[in-house]
Amino acid sequence: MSLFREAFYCLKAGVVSLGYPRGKDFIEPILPPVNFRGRLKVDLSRCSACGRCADACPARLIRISSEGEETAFRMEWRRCFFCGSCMYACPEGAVSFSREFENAAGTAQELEAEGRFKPVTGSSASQEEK
Amino acid sequence: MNTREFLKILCKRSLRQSLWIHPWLSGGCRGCHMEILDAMTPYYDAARLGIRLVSSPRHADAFLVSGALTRGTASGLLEVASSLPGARKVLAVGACACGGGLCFDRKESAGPLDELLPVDFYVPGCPPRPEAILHALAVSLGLLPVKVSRESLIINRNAEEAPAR
Repeated sequence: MSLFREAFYCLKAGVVSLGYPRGKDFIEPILPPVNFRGRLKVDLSRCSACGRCADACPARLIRISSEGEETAFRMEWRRCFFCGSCMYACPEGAVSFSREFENAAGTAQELEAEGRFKPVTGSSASQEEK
Repeated sequence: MNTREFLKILCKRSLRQSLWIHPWLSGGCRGCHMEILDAMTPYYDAARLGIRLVSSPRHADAFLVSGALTRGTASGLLEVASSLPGARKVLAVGACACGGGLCFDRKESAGPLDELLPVDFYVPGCPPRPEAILHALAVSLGLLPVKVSRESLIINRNAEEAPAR
């Protein structure tokens, strides 16, 4: 009799496994929770090059240096361990994490980002929003 | 088509249905190792893709290295890697194996994995989700495309608007 009970419970559960590229019903794509820290995104148009993210990062993967008139932002992202210190340290809200988690890359160069920009002076970017 | 190319295509097609992986933990917090084992559970169900854990590196098609590489474990890693078959994929799982992690410049650290072994795929994350590991294995088989790029990490709206004007 216990066999029947076991079979009943197993059939009642239905499909449990997650069909990876799709979700549990094999139709909807998978999305992590709302506050999930996935891919790091830096918006250089809001950056004021204060360097607080570079100071706050425990793995020291962000490097900001001035090259002539422009400022260079370099990042060795493969070392990142998603603590979010840069996001909380940024006064302009330029650093954010998206929910994309499929970050496999074939070369290390794909995980190194570099951008040149002219920094906004002071906190003008945050004042414009207000 | 010469024999070498034919054998390469044959290997790729035969691996598509059965990839045997050997996870190797190099110390550390074991988070990434747990996620690799998590991907093999019935919930994520890697077995439906033919992915199977094997206990010997001699049978492995993919070698998943996780954890911070230290000077003590580097020699063990090279010993295990020497017994891998020639046509294998080496995947660095987690921030520590990808780039050294938090302790990348400490004297005990042996650096990132690519200083010791040629790495085929990097899986950043601390730890990466089990789906991300499955995605990396699918990328190594050529089933899914690589989704991260240099351009996707840094956005510069001013530079994007400038050529339009």
